[in-house]
Amino acid sequence: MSAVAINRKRSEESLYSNQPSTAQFRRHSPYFQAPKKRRFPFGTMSQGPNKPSSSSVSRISRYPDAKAPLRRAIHAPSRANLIYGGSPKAKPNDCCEKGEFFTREYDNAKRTALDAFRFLNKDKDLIDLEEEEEDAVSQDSAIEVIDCDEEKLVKDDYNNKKKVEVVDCDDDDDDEENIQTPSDVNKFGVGDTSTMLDSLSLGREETTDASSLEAYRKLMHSAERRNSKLEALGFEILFNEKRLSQLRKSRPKPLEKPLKKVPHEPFIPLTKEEEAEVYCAFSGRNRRKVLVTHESSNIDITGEVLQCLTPSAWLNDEVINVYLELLKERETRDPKNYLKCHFFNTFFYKKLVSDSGYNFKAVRRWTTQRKLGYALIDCDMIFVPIHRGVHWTLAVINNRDRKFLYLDSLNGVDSKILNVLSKYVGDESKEKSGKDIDVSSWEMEFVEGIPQQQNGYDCGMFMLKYIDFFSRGLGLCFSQEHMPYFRLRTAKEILKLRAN
Amino acid sequence: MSTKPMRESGSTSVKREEKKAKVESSASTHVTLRFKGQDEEEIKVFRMRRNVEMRKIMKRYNEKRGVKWNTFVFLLDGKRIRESQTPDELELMDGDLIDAMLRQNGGGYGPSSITF
Repeated sequence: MSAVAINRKRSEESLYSNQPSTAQFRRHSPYFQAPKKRRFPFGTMSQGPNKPSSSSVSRISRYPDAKAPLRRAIHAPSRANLIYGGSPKAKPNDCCEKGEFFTREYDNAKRTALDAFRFLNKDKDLIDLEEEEEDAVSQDSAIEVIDCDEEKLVKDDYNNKKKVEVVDCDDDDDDEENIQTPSDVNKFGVGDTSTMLDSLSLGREETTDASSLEAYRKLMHSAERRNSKLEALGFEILFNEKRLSQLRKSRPKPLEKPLKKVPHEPFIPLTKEEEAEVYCAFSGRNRRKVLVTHESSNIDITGEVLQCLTPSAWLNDEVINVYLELLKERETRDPKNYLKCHFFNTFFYKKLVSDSGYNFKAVRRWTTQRKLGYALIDCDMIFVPIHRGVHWTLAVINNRDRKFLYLDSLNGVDSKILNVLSKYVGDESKEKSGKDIDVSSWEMEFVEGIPQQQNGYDCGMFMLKYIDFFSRGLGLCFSQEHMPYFRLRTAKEILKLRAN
Repeated sequence: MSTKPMRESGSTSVKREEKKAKVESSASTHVTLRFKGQDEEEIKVFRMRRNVEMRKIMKRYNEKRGVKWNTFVFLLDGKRIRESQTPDELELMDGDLIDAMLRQNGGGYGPSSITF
């Protein structure tokens, strides 16, 4: 031990450089400096032979196997030391004196440490053999008394040392497993590694083939013991998974609106020619040019106006109003596939609430039979686009289901709007059709769970698509990601003056 | 309520007799239109020839309101009025009310882009 103490410094350094992993790490890190500090916990090593404790055993057992040490740290990387973990072993001769000395010392220390354990245990064994009949119960308070003498030995070891000796009666260990204290977990782990160490340590003359075989067998058994439990767990897992899948299958599917089959038509992509046409229309040179005119509504669409359909642009009233006109025409063309709808233009609501907050007179001439060709009250759905300064939202008078809906792509609510509309419905039906509708019985709903805009510019498009999908009788099965496509598609439909 | 009959293009020199004559036959040649601006209580009354394009009167109205051309959209019973149309085409009657609405833009949130 004194020899160890004298050469402590040197061996520390070589020990330090002996740790191949850390050395390499330091060598390759940008902040590597010559090892000035010795942070390696050397203290326990010197204590090893004298005071064996479970912590040092475990620590020792965790040390990597001793390899021929590297030369003392040099400032420039040398080839020999750059090879990961290989060279030291490959060149056992390539060590300095100190290195060899250290290896010897290390082995000695380890040997003595482990011996101490064995020595101790053997003592204990002897004692137990003699005394077991007397202190049978007291020593093994937590464990059943079983007849086999050797088992008792093993139990004592478990309780006191948390270490497993090479014991012959393996079979009975199984029974004891259930009764053991929570040292079970450590039992095999630590014990096994010590036996492993024994069998693997360098230059160990005492290890015979027989004991190593024994150790191997012991390991095998302990591993196999766990196998059965693992199998059981694996089976349980499989079983539970199957149960889960069965339950999931048998669970009644939640009632959903027809969202399962995603409709095809509203998502048909544009052809290349159509796309080219749209991009051409968006281009700067068409700004002032009137691209299309919707005759019946007197709306001229210039390039500038159409440009509101370019990404991130706000939609304006012309584009929205012309699109609504196209939707109406679509329905007229093909009434079977669409609901009976009326599409108010964007100015309607504004006019309805002008002056005093409710102004039926201002709009009563908007919906004459002569103008519309049908009675408003006969429609299934009446769409009222709402313009709120910088935001577009939608109100729907659902005549078919007798309710008022409000849809906002930013999830806002406004009960004033629906109140106004309910009044309007009452007045309108009274004046135009002479019917008295009791709108107080109608439901008012701020529709939730509708597609929401994820930006600050798509609300107009969302509003148009709410209208489009509702007029088809579909659920709102689209989302923010479709908006660029919808913009192009709307531009195309406007240029063609035909909504599909 | 300001009632100020406006003379449209075509009648540059005004003589009392001519004016009287015009007034008498105004029913056939002229029409009195009322313009109501959005968010405005006041109604402006204009008088114009029936066969003249609406463009002039719309321009006039914008001027009166002190805004640039094309600020307003003019609606007749909810339907847009084209500048190239005439009162005859639109079958306007005396006293018809025309709505002057502000153009609308919307996106959601962020800096508003109302041109005014």
